Amino acid sequence: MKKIVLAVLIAFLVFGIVAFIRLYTSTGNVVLNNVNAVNGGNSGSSVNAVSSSGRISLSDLAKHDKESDCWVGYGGKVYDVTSFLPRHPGSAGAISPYCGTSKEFTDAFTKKHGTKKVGALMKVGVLIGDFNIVGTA
Amino acid sequence: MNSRELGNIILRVSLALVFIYFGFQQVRDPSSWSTFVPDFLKVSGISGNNVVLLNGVLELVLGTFLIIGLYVRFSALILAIHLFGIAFSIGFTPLGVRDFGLAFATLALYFYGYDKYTLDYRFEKKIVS
Repeated sequence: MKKIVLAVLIAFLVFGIVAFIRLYTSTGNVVLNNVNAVNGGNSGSSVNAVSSSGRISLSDLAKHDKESDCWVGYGGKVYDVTSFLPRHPGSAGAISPYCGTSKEFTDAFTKKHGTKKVGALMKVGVLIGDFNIVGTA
Repeated sequence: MNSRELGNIILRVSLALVFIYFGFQQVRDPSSWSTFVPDFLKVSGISGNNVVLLNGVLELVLGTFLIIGLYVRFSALILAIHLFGIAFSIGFTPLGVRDFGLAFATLALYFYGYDKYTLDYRFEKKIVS
Protein backbone atom coordinates (compact mmCIF):
# COMPACT_ATOMS: atom_id res chain seq x y z
CA MET A 1 0.00 0.00 0.00
CA LYS A 2 1.32 3.41 -0.89
CA LYS A 3 2.08 5.81 1.93
CA ILE A 4 -0.13 8.58 0.62
CA VAL A 5 -3.07 6.20 0.20
CA LEU A 6 -2.73 5.10 3.81
CA ALA A 7 -2.60 8.75 4.93
CA VAL A 8 -5.78 9.57 2.99
CA LEU A 9 -7.55 6.51 4.40
CA ILE A 10 -6.62 7.50 7.95
CA ALA A 11 -7.74 11.09 7.34
CA PHE A 12 -11.12 9.81 6.07
CA LEU A 13 -11.39 7.55 9.10
CA VAL A 14 -10.82 10.51 11.42
CA PHE A 15 -13.38 12.57 9.46
CA GLY A 16 -15.86 9.72 9.89
CA ILE A 17 -15.26 9.56 13.63
CA VAL A 18 -15.64 13.35 13.90
CA ALA A 19 -18.88 13.24 11.90
CA PHE A 20 -20.18 10.54 14.24
CA ILE A 21 -19.21 12.57 17.31
CA ARG A 22 -20.90 15.69 15.91
CA LEU A 23 -24.06 13.71 15.07
CA TYR A 24 -24.07 12.12 18.51
CA THR A 25 -23.53 15.39 20.41
CA SER A 26 -26.06 17.33 18.33
CA THR A 27 -28.67 14.66 19.16
CA GLY A 28 -27.79 15.17 22.81
CA ASN A 29 -28.24 18.92 22.46
CA VAL A 30 -31.71 18.48 21.01
CA VAL A 31 -32.70 16.45 24.06
CA LEU A 32 -31.11 19.02 26.37
CA ASN A 33 -32.87 21.90 24.61
CA ASN A 34 -36.21 20.12 24.96
CA VAL A 35 -35.59 19.62 28.67
CA ASN A 36 -34.68 23.29 29.01
CA ALA A 37 -37.78 24.32 27.09
CA VAL A 38 -39.92 22.28 29.46
CA ASN A 39 -38.14 23.94 32.35
CA GLY A 40 -38.86 27.38 30.97
CA GLY A 41 -35.40 27.88 29.56
CA ASN A 42 -33.62 27.24 32.81
CA SER A 43 -31.16 24.43 33.27
CA GLY A 44 -31.44 21.44 35.57
CA SER A 45 -31.11 22.08 39.28
CA SER A 46 -30.96 25.84 38.79
CA VAL A 47 -34.68 26.01 38.06
CA ASN A 48 -35.80 26.17 41.64
CA ALA A 49 -33.05 28.59 42.61
CA VAL A 50 -34.41 31.41 40.44
CA SER A 51 -37.20 33.48 41.86
CA SER A 52 -40.49 33.68 40.00
CA SER A 53 -39.83 37.35 39.23
CA GLY A 54 -36.66 36.27 37.46
CA ARG A 55 -34.54 38.60 39.55
CA ILE A 56 -31.48 37.37 41.33
CA SER A 57 -30.06 39.39 44.19
CA LEU A 58 -26.35 39.66 44.77
CA SER A 59 -26.76 37.63 47.95
CA ASP A 60 -28.45 34.85 45.94
CA LEU A 61 -25.69 35.06 43.36
CA ALA A 62 -23.09 34.80 46.13
CA LYS A 63 -24.54 31.45 47.23
CA HIS A 64 -23.34 29.86 43.98
CA ASP A 65 -19.67 30.28 44.76
CA LYS A 66 -18.38 26.73 44.36
CA GLU A 67 -16.83 24.92 41.40
CA SER A 68 -19.69 22.44 41.57
CA ASP A 69 -22.22 25.29 41.44
CA CYS A 70 -20.74 28.37 39.85
CA TRP A 71 -22.77 31.40 38.80
CA VAL A 72 -21.27 34.66 37.66
CA GLY A 73 -22.74 38.06 36.96
CA TYR A 74 -21.90 40.08 33.88
CA GLY A 75 -23.63 43.03 32.29
CA GLY A 76 -26.73 42.71 34.44
CA LYS A 77 -27.16 39.05 33.61
CA VAL A 78 -26.35 35.90 35.50
CA TYR A 79 -24.63 32.95 33.88
CA ASP A 80 -24.25 29.39 35.07
CA VAL A 81 -20.72 28.42 34.03
CA THR A 82 -20.51 25.23 36.13
CA SER A 83 -20.43 22.88 33.16
CA PHE A 84 -17.84 25.03 31.39
CA LEU A 85 -15.34 25.15 34.27
CA PRO A 86 -13.66 21.78 33.61
CA ARG A 87 -13.36 22.64 29.92
CA HIS A 88 -11.83 26.09 30.33
CA PRO A 89 -8.46 25.93 28.56
CA GLY A 90 -6.93 28.09 31.26
CA SER A 91 -8.12 25.55 33.89
CA ALA A 92 -11.13 25.78 36.18
CA GLY A 93 -8.95 27.62 38.69
CA ALA A 94 -8.92 30.66 36.43
CA ILE A 95 -12.67 31.17 36.92
CA SER A 96 -13.51 29.46 40.23
CA PRO A 97 -12.24 32.33 42.44
CA TYR A 98 -14.91 34.52 40.82
CA CYS A 99 -17.85 32.12 41.30
CA GLY A 100 -20.73 33.93 42.97
CA THR A 101 -19.42 37.39 42.09
CA SER A 102 -20.39 40.05 39.60
CA LYS A 103 -17.95 42.95 39.83
CA GLU A 104 -14.93 40.74 40.48
CA PHE A 105 -15.81 38.42 37.61
CA THR A 106 -16.52 41.33 35.27
CA ASP A 107 -13.16 42.95 36.08
CA ALA A 108 -11.24 39.70 35.63
CA PHE A 109 -13.07 38.72 32.45
CA THR A 110 -12.63 42.13 30.85
CA LYS A 111 -8.95 42.23 31.82
CA LYS A 112 -8.35 38.79 30.32
CA HIS A 113 -10.58 38.81 27.25
CA GLY A 114 -11.46 42.47 26.69
CA THR A 115 -14.87 43.85 25.90
CA LYS A 116 -14.96 42.23 22.45
CA LYS A 117 -15.44 38.82 24.02
CA VAL A 118 -18.70 39.68 25.73
CA GLY A 119 -20.69 37.74 23.13
CA ALA A 120 -18.51 34.72 23.74
CA LEU A 121 -19.51 34.64 27.40
CA MET A 122 -22.98 33.54 26.40
CA LYS A 123 -21.55 30.74 24.32
CA VAL A 124 -19.43 29.24 27.06
CA GLY A 125 -22.00 29.21 29.81
CA VAL A 126 -25.62 28.30 30.15
CA LEU A 127 -27.69 31.44 30.30
CA ILE A 128 -30.00 31.17 33.24
CA GLY A 129 -32.12 34.04 32.07
CA ASP A 130 -32.23 37.69 31.18
CA PHE A 131 -32.43 38.67 34.81
CA ASN A 132 -31.54 41.97 36.33
CA ILE A 133 -29.22 41.85 39.27
CA VAL A 134 -30.77 43.60 42.24
CA GLY A 135 -28.44 46.20 43.66
CA THR A 136 -25.06 47.18 42.38
CA ALA A 137 -22.07 44.91 42.22
CA MET B 1 16.37 0.62 22.34
CA ASN B 2 18.78 3.33 23.43
CA SER B 3 17.88 6.42 25.43
CA ARG B 4 17.92 8.66 22.34
CA GLU B 5 15.36 6.47 20.60
CA LEU B 6 13.28 6.30 23.76
CA GLY B 7 13.36 10.10 24.06
CA ASN B 8 12.21 10.45 20.47
CA ILE B 9 9.30 8.02 21.00
CA ILE B 10 8.23 9.71 24.23
CA LEU B 11 8.32 13.12 22.54
CA ARG B 12 6.34 11.92 19.52
CA VAL B 13 3.70 9.94 21.40
CA SER B 14 3.17 12.46 24.20
CA LEU B 15 2.77 15.35 21.75
CA ALA B 16 0.42 13.23 19.64
CA LEU B 17 -1.74 12.51 22.69
CA VAL B 18 -1.87 16.21 23.53
CA PHE B 19 -3.03 17.11 20.02
CA ILE B 20 -5.55 14.24 19.90
CA TYR B 21 -6.94 15.21 23.31
CA PHE B 22 -7.40 18.88 22.40
CA GLY B 23 -8.65 17.99 18.91
CA PHE B 24 -11.26 15.69 20.41
CA GLN B 25 -12.36 18.36 22.91
CA GLN B 26 -12.75 20.87 20.08
CA VAL B 27 -14.88 18.65 17.84
CA ARG B 28 -16.96 17.48 20.81
CA ASP B 29 -17.92 20.99 21.94
CA PRO B 30 -16.70 23.75 19.57
CA SER B 31 -18.73 26.48 21.28
CA SER B 32 -16.58 26.19 24.40
CA TRP B 33 -13.51 27.05 22.36
CA SER B 34 -14.87 29.70 20.01
CA THR B 35 -13.95 32.34 22.60
CA PHE B 36 -10.34 31.84 21.64
CA VAL B 37 -10.76 32.23 17.88
CA PRO B 38 -9.07 35.47 16.81
CA ASP B 39 -11.38 38.04 15.27
CA PHE B 40 -9.50 38.10 11.96
CA LEU B 41 -10.48 34.45 11.37
CA LYS B 42 -14.16 35.24 11.85
CA VAL B 43 -14.39 37.96 9.21
CA SER B 44 -13.98 35.47 6.39
CA GLY B 45 -17.59 34.40 6.82
CA ILE B 46 -16.78 31.23 8.72
CA SER B 47 -18.28 31.13 12.19
CA GLY B 48 -16.08 30.73 15.25
CA ASN B 49 -17.55 27.28 15.86
CA ASN B 50 -16.61 26.09 12.37
CA VAL B 51 -13.07 27.45 12.75
CA VAL B 52 -12.75 25.45 15.98
CA LEU B 53 -14.21 22.38 14.27
CA LEU B 54 -11.76 22.59 11.37
CA ASN B 55 -8.91 23.17 13.81
CA GLY B 56 -10.00 20.15 15.85
CA VAL B 57 -10.10 17.91 12.77
CA LEU B 58 -6.63 19.13 11.73
CA GLU B 59 -5.23 18.36 15.17
CA LEU B 60 -6.92 14.95 15.26
CA VAL B 61 -5.63 13.94 11.81
CA LEU B 62 -2.08 15.17 12.35
CA GLY B 63 -2.05 13.84 15.92
CA THR B 64 -3.05 10.43 14.57
CA PHE B 65 -0.27 10.66 11.97
CA LEU B 66 2.21 11.40 14.74
CA ILE B 67 1.13 8.53 16.97
CA ILE B 68 1.35 5.94 14.18
CA GLY B 69 4.43 7.59 12.71
CA LEU B 70 3.12 8.57 9.29
CA TYR B 71 4.58 11.73 7.73
CA VAL B 72 6.10 12.55 11.12
CA ARG B 73 8.25 15.48 9.97
CA PHE B 74 5.50 17.03 7.85
CA SER B 75 2.90 16.66 10.61
CA ALA B 76 5.24 18.04 13.27
CA LEU B 77 6.12 21.05 11.10
CA ILE B 78 2.48 21.93 10.39
CA LEU B 79 1.51 21.51 14.04
CA ALA B 80 4.50 23.57 15.21
CA ILE B 81 3.63 26.45 12.85
CA HIS B 82 0.02 26.16 13.94
CA LEU B 83 0.99 26.31 17.63
CA PHE B 84 3.33 29.26 17.11
CA GLY B 85 0.40 31.07 15.50
CA ILE B 86 -1.83 30.31 18.48
CA ALA B 87 0.88 31.29 20.97
CA PHE B 88 1.47 34.66 19.28
CA SER B 89 -2.29 35.20 18.99
CA ILE B 90 -2.82 34.59 22.70
CA GLY B 91 0.17 36.70 23.69
CA PHE B 92 2.29 36.73 26.82
CA THR B 93 -0.11 34.91 29.17
CA PRO B 94 0.19 31.56 30.98
CA LEU B 95 -1.73 29.95 28.11
CA GLY B 96 0.47 31.61 25.51
CA VAL B 97 3.67 30.55 27.25
CA ARG B 98 2.40 26.96 27.51
CA ASP B 99 1.60 26.85 23.79
CA PHE B 100 4.94 28.46 23.00
CA GLY B 101 6.70 25.62 24.87
CA LEU B 102 4.59 23.01 23.10
CA ALA B 103 5.35 24.64 19.77
CA PHE B 104 9.11 24.38 20.39
CA ALA B 105 8.72 20.74 21.51
CA THR B 106 6.85 20.02 18.27
CA LEU B 107 9.54 21.83 16.31
CA ALA B 108 12.13 19.63 18.05
CA LEU B 109 10.19 16.58 16.84
CA TYR B 110 10.37 17.96 13.30
CA PHE B 111 14.16 18.15 13.55
CA TYR B 112 14.39 14.70 15.20
CA GLY B 113 12.36 13.12 12.42
CA TYR B 114 10.95 9.63 12.61
CA ASP B 115 12.24 6.80 14.80
CA LYS B 116 12.38 3.04 14.24
CA TYR B 117 8.91 2.51 15.60
CA THR B 118 7.06 4.50 12.97
CA LEU B 119 5.37 3.68 9.69
CA ASP B 120 7.71 6.16 8.02
CA TYR B 121 10.62 3.92 8.99
CA ARG B 122 8.85 0.82 7.77
CA PHE B 123 8.04 2.46 4.44
CA GLU B 124 11.63 3.71 4.14
CA LYS B 125 13.00 0.21 4.75
CA LYS B 126 10.34 -1.28 2.46
CA ILE B 127 9.02 -3.38 5.36
CA VAL B 128 5.55 -2.26 4.33
CA SER B 129 4.91 -2.71 0.65
